[in-house]
Amino acid sequence: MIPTHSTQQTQVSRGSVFSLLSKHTLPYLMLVPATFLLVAIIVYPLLYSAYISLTDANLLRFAQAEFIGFENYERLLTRERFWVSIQRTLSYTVGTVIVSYSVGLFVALILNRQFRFRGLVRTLLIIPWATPWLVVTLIWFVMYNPQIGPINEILKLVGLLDVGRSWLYSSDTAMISIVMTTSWRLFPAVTLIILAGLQSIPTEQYEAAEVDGASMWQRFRYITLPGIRTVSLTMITLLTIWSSKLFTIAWTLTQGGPGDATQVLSVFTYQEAFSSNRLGRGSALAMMSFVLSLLLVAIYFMILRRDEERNRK
Amino acid sequence: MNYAMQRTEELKEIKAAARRDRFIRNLGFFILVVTTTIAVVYPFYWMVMASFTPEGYSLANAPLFLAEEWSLEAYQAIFTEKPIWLWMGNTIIVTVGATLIVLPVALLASYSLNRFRFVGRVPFIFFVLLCQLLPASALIVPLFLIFRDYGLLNTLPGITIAFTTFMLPLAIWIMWGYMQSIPLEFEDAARVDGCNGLQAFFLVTLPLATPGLAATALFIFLEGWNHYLLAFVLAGGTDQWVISLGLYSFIGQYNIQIEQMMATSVIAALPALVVFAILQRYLRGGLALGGLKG
Repeated sequence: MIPTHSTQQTQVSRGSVFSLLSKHTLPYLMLVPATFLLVAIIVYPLLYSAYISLTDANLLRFAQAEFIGFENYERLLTRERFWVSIQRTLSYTVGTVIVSYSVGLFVALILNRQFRFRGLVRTLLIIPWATPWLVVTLIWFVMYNPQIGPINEILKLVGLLDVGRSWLYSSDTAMISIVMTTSWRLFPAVTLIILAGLQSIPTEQYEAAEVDGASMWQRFRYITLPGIRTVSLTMITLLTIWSSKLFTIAWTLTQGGPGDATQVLSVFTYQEAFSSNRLGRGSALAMMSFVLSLLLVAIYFMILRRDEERNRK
Repeated sequence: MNYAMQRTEELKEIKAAARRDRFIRNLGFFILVVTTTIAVVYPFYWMVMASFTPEGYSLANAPLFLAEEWSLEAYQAIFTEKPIWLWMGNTIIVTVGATLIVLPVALLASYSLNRFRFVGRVPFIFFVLLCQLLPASALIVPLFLIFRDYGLLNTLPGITIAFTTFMLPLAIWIMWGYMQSIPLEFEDAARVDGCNGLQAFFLVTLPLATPGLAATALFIFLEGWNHYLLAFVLAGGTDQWVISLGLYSFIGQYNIQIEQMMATSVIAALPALVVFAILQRYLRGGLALGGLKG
């Protein structure tokens, strides 16, 4: 009787010491390594970049950098090249979101039906998403190639084109070309997410609609679309964030060119800092893209939290 | 009798018409599926085909729908003439190194975010998400300057540290998602049986989280295998090139060797495809939403 009592007591006291630790300090202690690392590799560099953006730092004479206030920002905002770059970023982002979302939705609707070899088709259609970005670049570099590229040949074969085009090297087709390439890589992400959304729509709704004589379009408009509204919103926001910051395709496929045809913000930042050696102005651009991504991520975060709350109900 | 026969004839006709209708609709759908699949897979198919043709074949026989001559020349060439082993080796060193730094840190953080409710939790989650979706171009200037001061420029440790900038937030995010799928009850039961919090964590939660850790490791490996910009800015010498830089070197060439280019692409795509195949079941759930970057 007495020993039992004593063990119980020690357990309670040990428990209370631990609960004090767990309730108040343990969660923070466990976040210390992550916080330390994130501050060291992301927050500190960003603050440093904010400081550099206020100087006239140049890669070739970095030691002589002088504080110049907001001059870099003023110069950028009054320069046409900056606004062209913003416009290119917008075209690239909007184009990629529209193409990859609609293709992704289309493929998801196909895959939502029962048919033989559906598993195989699904696997094949996801392949682009598994392809490393630089492999995507090399494949499409060849696809668009004016001499041997299959795209020209196929378009000529179908009769859509008389003379082969050099897709990546003319300023009126370069942007659409990199949009198509980026969308090829990204659409399977949309497909997978939408497919999960489609499969959560109860089949009874479709059966009821069919009994009531709803047409295929009506069923799509009033059952399917509302059913995938939430996942679509999340996916579109995520696609916006991804494509607005993407550097790899616009750089490796077209180097921002021809001229400034594909000079999106990330490419412009790189060129200012490392091709023109203007680290200060490059940093100013980096700060602006940081603010842009802050806004977009805030929107995304709000959407995610709202979903989470809805799911809990 | 006559009337009944007439009825069955009519019924047969209606059934036949319905069958015809269904056949046409199915055929339409079949054509849709086949054309979509071919359109999406064709570039990939072209890459594989071209990589197995003799040198110069693709240039002479454009476009390559079906190759008639086969050769392993391109593969032999890239393994003897190009430092493809070095590129892959560097990528593996860098990604494994970064993974070893990132995983324990991410495990602790995700556990804390999932098991406790505390002041500052939601802002921290937002902070992690922001770090994960931050444009890499925002970091190139400061990382370049800091690495230059610390002598990390053009070194593998430098690239390793640079890769943790996107791997760590991603790992926390994925691990956190996985932790949510582990029921709290196991841990509570262990505590009732006399384990303290740390014991419960190490003896109960950690073994349950192992598949999640493995999946996270594979996810961030994929990101590392994919990444280009930071390596491009921070690895100046060809000795530190990772696979993405090696692949890009084919584009600047004066004489484009299509077959070698495609053979290297195939080799570079293989590990990514294998890892992706393993991860497929994780992609079906909500994990993919926050989890993957572009």
